[in-house]
Amino acid sequence: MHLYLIRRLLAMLPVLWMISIFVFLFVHAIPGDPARMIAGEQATMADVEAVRRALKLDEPLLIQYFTFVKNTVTLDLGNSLRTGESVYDMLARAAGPTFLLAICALGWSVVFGLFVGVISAVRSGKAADHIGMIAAVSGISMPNFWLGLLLIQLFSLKLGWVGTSGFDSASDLILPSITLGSGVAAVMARFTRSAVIEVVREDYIRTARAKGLVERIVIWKHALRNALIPVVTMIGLQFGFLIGGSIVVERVFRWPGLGSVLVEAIQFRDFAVIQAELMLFSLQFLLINLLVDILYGFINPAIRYK
Amino acid sequence: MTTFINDTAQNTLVKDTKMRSPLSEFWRRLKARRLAIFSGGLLGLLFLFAFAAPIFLPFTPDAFDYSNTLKEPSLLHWAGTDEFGRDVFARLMFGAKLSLLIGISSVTIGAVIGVTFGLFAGYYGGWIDAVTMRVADVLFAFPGILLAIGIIAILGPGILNVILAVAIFSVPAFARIVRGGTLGLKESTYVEAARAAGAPDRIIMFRHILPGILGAVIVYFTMRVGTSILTAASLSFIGLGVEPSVPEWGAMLSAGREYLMAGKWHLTFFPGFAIFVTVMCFNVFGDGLRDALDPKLDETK
Amino acid sequence: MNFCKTMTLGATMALTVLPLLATQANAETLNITIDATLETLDPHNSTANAVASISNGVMQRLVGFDKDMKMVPMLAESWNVNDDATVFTFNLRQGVTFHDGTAFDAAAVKVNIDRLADQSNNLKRNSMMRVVDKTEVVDEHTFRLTLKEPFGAMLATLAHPSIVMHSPKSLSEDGGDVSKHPVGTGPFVFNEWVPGERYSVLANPNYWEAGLPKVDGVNFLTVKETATSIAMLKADEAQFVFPLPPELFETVDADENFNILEVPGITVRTASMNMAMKQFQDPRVREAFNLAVDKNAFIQVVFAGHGVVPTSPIAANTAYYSAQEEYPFDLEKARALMAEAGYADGFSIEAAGRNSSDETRTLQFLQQQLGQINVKVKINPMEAAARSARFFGNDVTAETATFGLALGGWSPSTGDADWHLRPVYSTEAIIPNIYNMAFYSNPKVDAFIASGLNSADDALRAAAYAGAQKLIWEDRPVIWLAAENKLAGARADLSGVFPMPDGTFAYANADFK
Repeated sequence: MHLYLIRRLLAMLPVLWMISIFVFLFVHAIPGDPARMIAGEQATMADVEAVRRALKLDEPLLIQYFTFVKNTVTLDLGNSLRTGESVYDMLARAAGPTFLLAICALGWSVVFGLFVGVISAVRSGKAADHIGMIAAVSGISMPNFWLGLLLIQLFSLKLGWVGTSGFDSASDLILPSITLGSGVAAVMARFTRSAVIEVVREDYIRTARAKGLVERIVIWKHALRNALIPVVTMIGLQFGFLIGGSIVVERVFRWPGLGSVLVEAIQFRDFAVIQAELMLFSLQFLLINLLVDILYGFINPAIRYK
Repeated sequence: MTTFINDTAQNTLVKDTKMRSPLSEFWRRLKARRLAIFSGGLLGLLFLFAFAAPIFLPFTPDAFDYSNTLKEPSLLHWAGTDEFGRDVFARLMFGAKLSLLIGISSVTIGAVIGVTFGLFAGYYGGWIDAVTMRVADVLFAFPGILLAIGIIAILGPGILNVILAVAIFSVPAFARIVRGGTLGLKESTYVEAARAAGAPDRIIMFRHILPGILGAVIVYFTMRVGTSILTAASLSFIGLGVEPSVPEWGAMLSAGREYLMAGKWHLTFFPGFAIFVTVMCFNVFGDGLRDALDPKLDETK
Repeated sequence: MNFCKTMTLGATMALTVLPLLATQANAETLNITIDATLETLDPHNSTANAVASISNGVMQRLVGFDKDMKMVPMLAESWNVNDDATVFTFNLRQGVTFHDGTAFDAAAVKVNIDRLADQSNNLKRNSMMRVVDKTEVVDEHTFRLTLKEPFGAMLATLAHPSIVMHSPKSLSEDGGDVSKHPVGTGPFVFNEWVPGERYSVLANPNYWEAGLPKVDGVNFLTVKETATSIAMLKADEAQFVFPLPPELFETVDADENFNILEVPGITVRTASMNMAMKQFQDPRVREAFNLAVDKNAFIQVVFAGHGVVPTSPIAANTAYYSAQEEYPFDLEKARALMAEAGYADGFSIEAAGRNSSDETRTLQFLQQQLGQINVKVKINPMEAAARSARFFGNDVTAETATFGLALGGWSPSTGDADWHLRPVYSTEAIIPNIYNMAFYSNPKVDAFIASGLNSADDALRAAAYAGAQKLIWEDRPVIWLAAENKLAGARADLSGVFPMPDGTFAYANADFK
């Protein structure tokens, strides 16, 4: 098991390396001059050159790449080209709200989605199934920025139940996580439903029924355990999309997270921040995948890791 | 709770023994899903509106009228007017054409590229497979919208670039699906037979394996159109999509958002609703297709 | 999963309730929303209006502006200038100390001006002090500035919101970092900065003017979404919102709990015509363009009616403004002129601007208006970095610029005609140097602008700038669109906080009645 872990972690390295090249090239392919951005519109050419020298942007590309790799590996993520602040600090500060929002969104949406999915599977073909699945399809079809705006309109402005934006109190988590989680809940519901339906047809379920076990135990203990395998994989994927997909939601709710930081960094061609954040996203996605695979092993005793 | 019929010989005698071709079997199952047919019908209506309606509309989407700005829905203007006095309903109809165009062409491009890569990867295996899947991993590591934003950032905004950006992030998924299917079908008997008969690889891949996975591809295609329309709208919402005066739904939502607090709800409600309904129809229809194709999930017995 | 969620929620609640309680106990704290992220707290190194705005309560200048852009004494009580505007002597206010206890005196002023004048410091505002030759401490409360060449607009430059006086101790090596912890002489003392989120200041108990400040503290919250900031205003999470988008004027105005504060702005919005292009070299085409655009409709559509039609290249409340004859909205004459110039069938051009909501609307508006004289406009709203490269990139030349119309807006924060005409209409300002996006060059205009700087005498300067404005207006290198009003929303009982014509706002005299 440990060997497997080590092997997987090592296998991540070449992927990360490829990603780093990709990220670096991509960031430098974007047209736009950060020195000019930072110097501002009213600056003269001389000012711009001064800024460029000050930020070491005039060094050859290859050197800039190696600096980037070295810094990333040593976690010295450099300073924001714009504010001079440590990128590590910026990301650390923004990561908290984003992860918190993602966890809340994931939390309610997975639980809710699982629940709806199982009910739909169990009552498949009946009213509950139809309602559940229509709700689920709505969830994935709805543009989340539209949903967010509607929710703000109703619950903040008209009813005044919660704050409108920002992250000043715990209740501010409610609307953004509903908006962010709606898509995931929908996918969870649909996926769980089909996974459970498939599992329920298996022989061992029939055996359990034949043995006379209570239906509820059959479903929740035996069927779900096995349906969880693909579902867990799904959860892993969704978490990654949640982090990235929160960009639009963070904008609508003025959420002080990674998404907002990234959008602004792209606007200002703040290479240091963009690179660091993209690497962070990628790393986290790969780690989640690894975690999911390990969990997979625990849930499904048929898998043995060499 | 459905009951399970043991497939004994006895039961087979009782069942309808008429032989059906896979296509009519598929069609029969599809017709049984009323919801899917309904959304398919709506989609057909949408296409009709998008391409034919402009002829019948009293207003063109670009006709401005500064004395008539920001009016709420009325008998004259079914969905109200926007900040330049343009008729929102007319713009919605034109937006339909645009969204369908963007959605379908981007997914088509993504599918063609992805399917090809998937076939090659699954069939040849080895390093082609490894490289393709690694690249797919890298592409997957980026949240879709981020990738799209990145591509737009490099290429600049505009309809063509939006199509490209959205197409690119469909590619890895198609590749994965097709690769999986190819791996499965590679070992099947008729492929073995074709190979034994000396058929060239390309023929085997495209003539023998592809039809087998085509079903899954089509289903995924349909669902993907919905996602693509959503992504394109999100891009426009952030301001990285089409040119602003173009009546694309996401752009309309973005422009209308400025007036939300001023009480002009119609500017955000209708485009958002249009996106919602369209994407939903594609998804439901796609679901119906998938269920119709896959007998295991058929529970209309 | 549920347990984790509860724990996280619980922890968050605990962590966030405490500071919330703290702010609520202090009812006299003012919350202001701003729409930009602050990249630094040092106005010497920023061109952003937001930075200038928040700083003017913490740090002060030698001279300032009142609500109507008239110069008023601040840290300098009086001054005199020699005839050719090369030597400026200031009598400084006495009994003023910085927040860290350092005395405010001529030596402190010298440290600040030297810092700005030293071009090797790479500060964004260095160029404003380029003409400084030497700075002298005449005595403890008298400061003298000598310039390399005549510069009549020097006083106005010193009144610019970025030219603040930092405490010399805070500027010294081990004194601290003014970009993160500014120290000034103002009625408020810096408290805390959470970048991208919040900047807060507290009342200065030792302020030199008695009776001020009247509030206990001010929090500046960065809110990008206009809808969100209005929602915060209505929920009393903020008591002053700036800028207030014009389309929300009605919503806020209708509510009697809130007031709208409106001042005429000194920003003039223009669409520069690329005079390197053949079509725009013909003055008839340029006149046609100015006649074909209905400026009043523009103000209605883009600024909800809150603005004035320009009657000169500079706004009416800029010093040395001289009124010209307004361009009427006359489609027939415009068409006739186009035909005369040989463009009855029009031509195609690209119009480029920011992708902000008002510039996007402006672009669409121009597309609609110019369509009426057969000009097909392809609009291109660019995001910040792309626009910056397109207009101000190092390799921008008249030959390679492909845009026909470039949207822009210039606001002379010095309140002086020089800092509007020179950066926008002089030959030396042609992009990418400063802001002349029309590639416009008229040596006579350059001469007028130069002579306006040669003296500090009001009459002489007025004459020079009148001459310049008349020529520019007749040459019409741009379409002058509007000078929009600056709008802010405030709680009804709030006074002493108001928007300034240049796009900043003042809050030093804030008071809840």
